[in-house]
Amino acid sequence: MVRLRTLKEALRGRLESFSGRMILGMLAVHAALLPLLFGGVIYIVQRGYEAQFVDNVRSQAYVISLALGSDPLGPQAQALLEDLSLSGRVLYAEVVDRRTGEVVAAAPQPGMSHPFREDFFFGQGGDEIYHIALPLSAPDGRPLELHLGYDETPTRQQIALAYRRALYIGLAYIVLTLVLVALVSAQVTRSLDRVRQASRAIASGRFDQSLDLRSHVREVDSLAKDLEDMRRTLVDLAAALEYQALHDPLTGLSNRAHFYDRLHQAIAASRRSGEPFTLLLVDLDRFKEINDTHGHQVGDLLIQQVAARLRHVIRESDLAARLGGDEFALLLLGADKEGGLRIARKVLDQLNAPFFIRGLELRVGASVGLSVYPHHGSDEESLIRCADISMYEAKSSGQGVQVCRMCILPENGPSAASLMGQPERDPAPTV
Amino acid sequence: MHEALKQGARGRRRRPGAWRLAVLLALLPAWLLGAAAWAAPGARLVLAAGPHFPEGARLNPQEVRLLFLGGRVTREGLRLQPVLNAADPFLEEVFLQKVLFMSKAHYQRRLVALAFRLGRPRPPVFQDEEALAEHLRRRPGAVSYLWARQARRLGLKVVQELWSDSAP
Repeated sequence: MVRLRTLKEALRGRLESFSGRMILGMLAVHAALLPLLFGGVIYIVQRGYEAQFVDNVRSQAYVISLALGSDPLGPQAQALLEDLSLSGRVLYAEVVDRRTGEVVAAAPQPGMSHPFREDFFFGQGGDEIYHIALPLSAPDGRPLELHLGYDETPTRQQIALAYRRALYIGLAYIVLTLVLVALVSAQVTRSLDRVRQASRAIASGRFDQSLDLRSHVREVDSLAKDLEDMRRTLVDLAAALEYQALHDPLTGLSNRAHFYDRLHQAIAASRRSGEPFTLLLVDLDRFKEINDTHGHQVGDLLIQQVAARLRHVIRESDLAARLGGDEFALLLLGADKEGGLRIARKVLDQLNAPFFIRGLELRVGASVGLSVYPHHGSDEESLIRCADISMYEAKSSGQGVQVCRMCILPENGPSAASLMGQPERDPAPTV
Repeated sequence: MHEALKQGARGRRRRPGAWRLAVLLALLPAWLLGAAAWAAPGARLVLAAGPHFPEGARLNPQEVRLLFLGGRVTREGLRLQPVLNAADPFLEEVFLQKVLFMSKAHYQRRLVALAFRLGRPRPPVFQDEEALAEHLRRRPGAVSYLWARQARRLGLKVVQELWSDSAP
């Protein structure tokens, strides 16, 4: 019972599909048109056969009546009647006296019984014999009548053959049409399935795979192209949103969220490789003063130029981020303390140089705090806190750059992993 | 009464098949009209004309055949004009079998061939008896074929008998 229901549902699903609809539609159209088409053709063919038979019978009977001539009871006439009945098409031939109804000459087939009823249509009388009568006259003037019976069976067989052939052709036509419809609809369905899969992927947020579809069906191709355009727009929008989410709109540098993410990745990578990296926190010294004096627009332009100079100092693989206001961070991958200090000095050189904005020469200066993984912290918070403290120390002392004083790992000591969580003070701060 | 005349409609009812039945039903009204016309005992097929047809003029069977197959036939200087009576399908078939000795399809082809090859006009065809009678009355040389009782009813002149239901 359950299997039957499942089968029914499967069948219904199949019929409600595109292919099923196409096949049902074609069946409906053919169910309406084929009987008309083949019925009409067969009707014409049958009428043609019947008309040809009647025409042959009437013209041949007329010629026979002429051939019997003025002596239809003579030996030549008798020979002609017998010859006619031998031909097979004429089942009987006889001459009847019209006054008495007596058969005066005949050539019947053996065992042939033929009550005469003249026919005027093919099939009339239902005895499969076309009976026809023609007037004759005996030499003595008696009115006679020639009766002929023609066999309708061969014509009926020809008509039946035409019916069978029409039936076979009709069935072959239907099967061929259904196969072609199934093939064409399957092709279209495949294309639609691909479009459907692509739209589902897009709906679920996976729009990294392009939809390159050629179906030879204009509407499907158009739908696929629209979907591909929509996917590209979504990809661009997603990229723009991602950029906005991870970058500072004023400078184009990474923002705080992106910086934290990259710092987290850098810690993980360094843990695996054992390679150190350096974090620089940069704070502009006189930015508030410039901002208050010359306005926010000049302040914004200054921030943009600072960002450009920072970007110029670091490598492609490093990261420069604006954490907020006039505070920046540089993540120097693979750089140890010396390498970090070298970059920090370059940063100071760049930021101590005058800035030219709207005809103003501005000197801003900066303070830089430096922390190195793993010596000054094993996680984001400790590294940032360490660099932040150093940066404030550098600012308060006016020394420009300050390395973190807190050290959890001697630079030539045991591995960071073995000492993780055991902070140690660095007795020798470096300026 | 000739048996064939009694069998006329019955014989065609024996054809099997739904579409044949449909054809039969379509032909039935005309068939019944025809049957009503010839069902009377002693039905006679006659050649009829209008009142102006020459008195006593007769045609032999070959001349009637020749006339309706496009030949030229005159009586007393009057050229005869054949007119086809299509009001009764059975009457047509009897005329074709007993006078022209050919099928309706062949006769139609013959008329078309005459029109195209020799440029002769097709004989006028009438589906309505009254219109046919009116045409015969107006044209002195026009002749057509009808059942004798129809010719009498329509007031037409019977030129001669072509066939009668007088089988033994």
